[in-house]
Amino acid sequence: MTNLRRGSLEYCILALLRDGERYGLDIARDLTDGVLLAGEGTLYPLLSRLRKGGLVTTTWRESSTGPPRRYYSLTADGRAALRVFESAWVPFRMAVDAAIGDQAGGSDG
Amino acid sequence: MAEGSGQGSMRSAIQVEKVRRYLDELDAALAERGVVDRAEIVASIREHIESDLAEREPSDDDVDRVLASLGDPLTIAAEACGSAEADGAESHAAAHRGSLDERGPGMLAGSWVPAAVVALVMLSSVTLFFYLPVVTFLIGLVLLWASTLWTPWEKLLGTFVLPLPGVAVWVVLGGLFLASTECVSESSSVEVGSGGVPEVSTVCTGGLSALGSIIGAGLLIAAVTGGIAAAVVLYRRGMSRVL
Repeated sequence: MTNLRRGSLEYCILALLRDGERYGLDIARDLTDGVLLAGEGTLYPLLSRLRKGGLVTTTWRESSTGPPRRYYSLTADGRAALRVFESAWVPFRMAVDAAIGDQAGGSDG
Repeated sequence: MAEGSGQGSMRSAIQVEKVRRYLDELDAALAERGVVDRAEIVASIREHIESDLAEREPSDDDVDRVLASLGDPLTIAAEACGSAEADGAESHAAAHRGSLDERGPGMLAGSWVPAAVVALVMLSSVTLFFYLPVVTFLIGLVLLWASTLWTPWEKLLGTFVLPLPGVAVWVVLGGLFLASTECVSESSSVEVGSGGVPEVSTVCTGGLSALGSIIGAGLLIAAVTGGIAAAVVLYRRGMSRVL
């Protein structure tokens, strides 16, 4: 389960950046459903890795309420990776749903 | 910029200290696992805390809440090197880092480690007067200190509190032994005196007094419960950090 969660989480982070740059706290707040992210802190190793992998990039912006923040945004590579994931995800999800559904139904022979 | 630093300075010394301790613990955990982008991770988490607390004048509860929602520093450190092997979006990154990250998901961080440490240290300490238990006791301590599953404070807890039930057992055995020998010696001295005085009834006062034995029993119970509590804490925290 850990690998499944972790693998999906990185693309969820990319997806959250699809509509424009965001800062860490803001991203963390969208992921605090307790399912994808174990603790908000684990977001940062992932962001750091995505940046090193060239999928996101960071820029510094002044903030009206506090110290300057680093904003994360998608690179062209990141956008491409997200597109690939999206196109694979829907058939993948349907296949898993179908398999689990068969199991749960159990009545047909 | 000036606004930001002004709000920061309104924080109490305790709050600043709490944040500093959290970040120090995180930094140490990342360093212990040989995480290369440690500085970046610590800086971005510091920023997360600052951004959150800058939204209003923070109370002590606010600081606690932010740190709690960030989670255990050791879990963050585990994530920082654990997912390096996972495939997918970060495969470039994994290739990038090469040998530096070959230490993998922490040292001695397997799911067998917490149980092994607790069993080796606790069970060996009961029978420390034999050679083999001394060896297994030391193996347990080496495992405890070499593993990346615990913070330095937890390792100290494991070293000094975990063996307490074992120590209590040999204190009880030793106490019984002492008490019984003193009974014998006193009675014999009276006999040698040859006065024929029937005051032999004072024989066992050399042993533990009533008050002494109550205090002793209290200490023993404290040692045993403390050791068991330490075992539970170390096992559960250790297991929660196993990948």
